[in-house]
Amino acid sequence: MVTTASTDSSSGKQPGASTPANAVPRILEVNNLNIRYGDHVALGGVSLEVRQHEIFGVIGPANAGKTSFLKVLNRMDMFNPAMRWEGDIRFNGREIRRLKNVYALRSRIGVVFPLPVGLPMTVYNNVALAPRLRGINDKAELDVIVERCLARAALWDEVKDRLDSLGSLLSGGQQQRLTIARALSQNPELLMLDEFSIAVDPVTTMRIEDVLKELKKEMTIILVTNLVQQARRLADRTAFFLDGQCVEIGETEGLFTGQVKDPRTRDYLEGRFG
Amino acid sequence: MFTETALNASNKKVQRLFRILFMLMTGLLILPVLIILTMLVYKGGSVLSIDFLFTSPTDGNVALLISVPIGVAAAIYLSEYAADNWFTRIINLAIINLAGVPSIVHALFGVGAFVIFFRFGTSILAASLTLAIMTLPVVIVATRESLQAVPMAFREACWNMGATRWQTIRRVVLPNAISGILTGIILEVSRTTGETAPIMFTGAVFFTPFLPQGIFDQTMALSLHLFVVATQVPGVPENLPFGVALVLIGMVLLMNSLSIAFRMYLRARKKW
Repeated sequence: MVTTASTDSSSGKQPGASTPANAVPRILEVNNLNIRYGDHVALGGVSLEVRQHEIFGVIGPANAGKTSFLKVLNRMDMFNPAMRWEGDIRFNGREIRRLKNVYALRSRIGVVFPLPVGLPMTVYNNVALAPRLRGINDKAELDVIVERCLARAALWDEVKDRLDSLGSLLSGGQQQRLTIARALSQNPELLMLDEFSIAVDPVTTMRIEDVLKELKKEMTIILVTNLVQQARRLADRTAFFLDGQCVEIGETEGLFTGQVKDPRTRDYLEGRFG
Repeated sequence: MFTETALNASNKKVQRLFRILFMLMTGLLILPVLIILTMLVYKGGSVLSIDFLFTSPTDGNVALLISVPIGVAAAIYLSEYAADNWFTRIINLAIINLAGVPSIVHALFGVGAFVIFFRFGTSILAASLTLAIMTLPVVIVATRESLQAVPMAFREACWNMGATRWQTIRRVVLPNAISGILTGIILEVSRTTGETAPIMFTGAVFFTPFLPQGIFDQTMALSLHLFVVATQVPGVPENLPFGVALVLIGMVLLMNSLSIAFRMYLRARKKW
């Protein structure tokens, strides 16, 4: 099980001679991660690392363990008593299992779920919630944050005249961008998107994808997607999860141009299953 | 294509039948209320006067001042903090059973615990504590239900931003559960006003010419007053008990409508 997980992808394709992969600082190091729900193993023996300012794609069919993987990263496992994990995960070098202050960890990681969660408050308050939790109460300061985050989520133009209407009354695609704006208002170092485009129309999806390419300059992004082509468009490196195992990790372009170690990866990328 | 088949016709007949049935049941519910109110106004209206109102007893809802904070806090703990294990399940079961205990049993408990053991005597304090214990389970159950009606996704979204449990409760859960919590409290307001048994032995007297001076005094309660006037005292003018009942019902209705208005105001602000 452990042997199928490849720790380093640099053997496939070097990003460039001048910047060897080892020199790029890692925001996340995962070593031999196992996740179980009761007796059911959701993820086994995964080891990987995420570099700073990259978009790290995670692809794979349903039930591959992609969402469970994200949940452990910001300790969402604490909300589900049935969820157990072992392994070594370091966020900016800090072991997260023994971390006492999980609130600080979560506030540094923004999460966007497949279905938008517009909190039952106004558009403005949705985006101002995270800054308020940090203790920012100055109206002018909040105004700036709200406008900037909504603008970066490509939503400002559509909602600037109705910041006081309910977030849950926006359309599905708008709510998903609101969720992204809310995640950005945390000023996260890591943004995790879990199949964000499921409830979003293709045009909006493209706009969000453009936003993500911009955001990469400021933060690291983990993009879980079941759209293989979306991973190809966005991700610098991609991991392929299948049945609770990490089959392969590699430079995205390399994987799509046939430089794969495992035939299952090629089959999946070419749409032969999954 | 659009001609009515036999199946369509019978579906329509059944649908009409159920509509009428449900409508009749609803009417049946309202009927007794209307009859009681007309009777009371007709028979007891004549004794009502400003003077009568001020000499008639009033029932303090001190009980809810005690049971609401405790009940809401306990419900928040059970619903938002406590882990789901056998211990909390037993507590939940106990609360539900407590809600089903007849009020006379609460009354006897009140006598034993507050009047005799804590030496409060028959007083407002003892009666209020007894009523508080009686209303506690309902307040807890209603609060817990409305907390759990708030979708889990809201909590998780808030936790994921780094909010603590309490921040999440205060900013997301409570604002959305408050109208449901109030519903539970409203039911209890009217119930405590009308209850006779729990206060009969613990703090209420049939008649006292003075208003109570403190929480250790006895007090008159409308419900008990009515019970005694109607059954125990010979030679009371016939319309007097009806007048008392009218005041009692009037107070319950007044409190209910105030709370319902408040709840409607809150619900209009509800966000999803």
